[in-house]
Amino acid sequence: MNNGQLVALLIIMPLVLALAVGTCHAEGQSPILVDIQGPAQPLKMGDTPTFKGSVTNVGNHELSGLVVYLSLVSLKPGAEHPVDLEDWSAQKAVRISKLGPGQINTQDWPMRLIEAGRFGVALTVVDPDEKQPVVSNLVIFNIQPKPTLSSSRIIPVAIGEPLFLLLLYGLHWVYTRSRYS
Amino acid sequence: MSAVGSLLRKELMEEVFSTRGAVLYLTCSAVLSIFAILLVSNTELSLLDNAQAVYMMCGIVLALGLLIAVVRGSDGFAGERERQTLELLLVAPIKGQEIALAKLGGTLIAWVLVFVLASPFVWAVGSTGQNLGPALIYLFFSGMLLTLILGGVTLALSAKTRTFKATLSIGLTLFLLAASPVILGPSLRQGSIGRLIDWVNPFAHGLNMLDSVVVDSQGISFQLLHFAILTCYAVAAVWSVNVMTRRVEL
Amino acid sequence: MKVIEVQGLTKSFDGNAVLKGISMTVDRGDIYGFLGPNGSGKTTTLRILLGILSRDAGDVAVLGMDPSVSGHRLRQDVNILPESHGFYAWMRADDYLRFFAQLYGRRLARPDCRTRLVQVGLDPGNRRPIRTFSRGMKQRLGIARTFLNDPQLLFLDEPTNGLDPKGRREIHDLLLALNREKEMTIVISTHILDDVERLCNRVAILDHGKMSYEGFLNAPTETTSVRYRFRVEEAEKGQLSRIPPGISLIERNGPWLTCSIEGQSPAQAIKRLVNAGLPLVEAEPVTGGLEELYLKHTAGGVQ
Repeated sequence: MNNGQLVALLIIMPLVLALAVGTCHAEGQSPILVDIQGPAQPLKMGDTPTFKGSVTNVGNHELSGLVVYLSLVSLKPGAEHPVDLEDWSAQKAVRISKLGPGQINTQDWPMRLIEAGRFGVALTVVDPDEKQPVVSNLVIFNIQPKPTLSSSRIIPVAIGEPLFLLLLYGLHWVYTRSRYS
Repeated sequence: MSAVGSLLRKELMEEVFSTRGAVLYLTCSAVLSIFAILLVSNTELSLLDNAQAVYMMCGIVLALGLLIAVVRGSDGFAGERERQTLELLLVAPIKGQEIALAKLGGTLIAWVLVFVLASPFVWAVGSTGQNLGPALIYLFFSGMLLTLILGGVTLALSAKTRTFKATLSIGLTLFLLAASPVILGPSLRQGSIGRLIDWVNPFAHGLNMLDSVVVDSQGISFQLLHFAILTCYAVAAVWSVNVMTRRVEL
Repeated sequence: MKVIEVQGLTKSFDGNAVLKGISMTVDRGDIYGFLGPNGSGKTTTLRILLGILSRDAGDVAVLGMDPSVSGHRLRQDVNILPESHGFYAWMRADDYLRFFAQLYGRRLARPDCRTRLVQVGLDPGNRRPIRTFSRGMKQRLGIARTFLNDPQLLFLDEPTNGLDPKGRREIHDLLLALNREKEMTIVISTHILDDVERLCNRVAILDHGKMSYEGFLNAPTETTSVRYRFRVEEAEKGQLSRIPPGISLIERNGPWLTCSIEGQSPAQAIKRLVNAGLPLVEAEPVTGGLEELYLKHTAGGVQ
């Protein structure tokens, strides 16, 4: 190989390599960006905050049939566990039929806070054409406990009503007996 | 007063002012009181979301109402037969269906009484007022339909069975069959069998409707299917009462 | 006019034949005694006549109507006091009568209610619930209930159950009065033969689901006999041997001769005795004739 050929190889090789790396890099990067924003804190039990989620198509092709679902985890130290959204939210997943390149789909994710503690919420997007789902950032928040059942209302009813019934029936009994004569 | 009106008045007097009625309604009130006090006194339960607490209380009320409906329905003809008062009704110029109508009316009135007794408890646990109004409305109407269903079926059975005990055991079995899948909890009802049972079980429809309204804050459009299914069952129950009481014999 | 006509009535329960083709007729104005041992089918017959029990076979007409077809209409003019009947124990007597009156489409005013209670010997001022009533009081109340719709036909199953002798007599008088004044037809099913003898003009005896006898009560036929006591004045021994056939001397007690009369009416027997030269001064029936009839037709005797 002469000097000219060597120079050409030295110039072309990095270009080819860079191109290859770039291509590989482009193939590994998902076309989806998902983000979730939490409500203002502090939060307490019984609140119904709304989390705002956005899904962006950063690729070159239109995406279809995307499934976006909400996940909730309890982050109580030493007892971390997933939480069933059954009683927290009626909306647990949505489907985005089409998302064009550059398009952003935003969704509101309302939730009712039914338990006190430390929690994390994230959105996950599943693209049927991709092997890897895309997960958003984790929004961590604390829910303050709040006794929601007011004993000042319940106790008078719980004690008063049976006594009132007993009184009514007692009066009826006395009235009936007095009519015997 | 018509014969049916007269019979209905008798049912009401027996239901409310008899010793049995007093025991029944005092027990109802006591059960609701115990549950309400439990909600307040237990640390975990007292932190329950209001909607959850209201939903649980409504479930208890529905169950109590249906138990009373089963007892009353079973006693309808079989109890009169055992107490030897049925013959005197049959020899009067009134039809078996008229007697059944009065009995069913009495059972519905019993549900209204249970609802009246329970309303203060539902109000008490629903302190933030979330969906309290809809909870009471849907509880009333779903209770009416379920009372008609279970009370009607047991009344129809009692027209043909010999004893109150036999009818009651069938009625309680039906009640437990209806209630048991619901007791199992949502995770066990996720499978196809569980969903099928939820679909055919009228009690499940009543509870799911309350869940949808009270917990998930969903409107009437989500409840139409539940109402439609409950109404179909109620119509079928009333029809069975009509058929079984066409000819009542001792 | 025939109030009840039954031909070939048959009924079985679980393959067990209770009624085996019975036939009977009851005319308007009859007080008809319906006798038979326990389990003979009396109550079953009454229930079929009322239309509250179906029949397997046979023709039945009550007040001209088939009870299985026109039971609803029929029961406006008929009533029954069953042998075993319960009460709504929490009701008072006047509430009870008013309740049943309403079932018959009638309003019972307070004075009318009082009259009906007095009629059966109950105190209209008694405000206690029925559960405090004695058995006799409950029976009287039950009888009062049967009159509420002024029935043309009344079925009474053991009507004097639980009543003392005075009470029984009062109820007898009441039934006889209703029969006389309102031409009410009454069918009485009872074991108390004295009641039947005092009240009934016709009697039927049911035995093991078959009608073994039906006829007038005080008309002995060839197969029945009645007993009479005759007082004779200084009857000679020879005269006693001249007692005509069909009249049997059962016992003699001083001037009293107790005789059994068969195949003829008492009036005919008396005439024949007098013609035979017996110095009859007095004649009176001896009760127990029905008992003999009953035992004859239920003990496997003459059919």
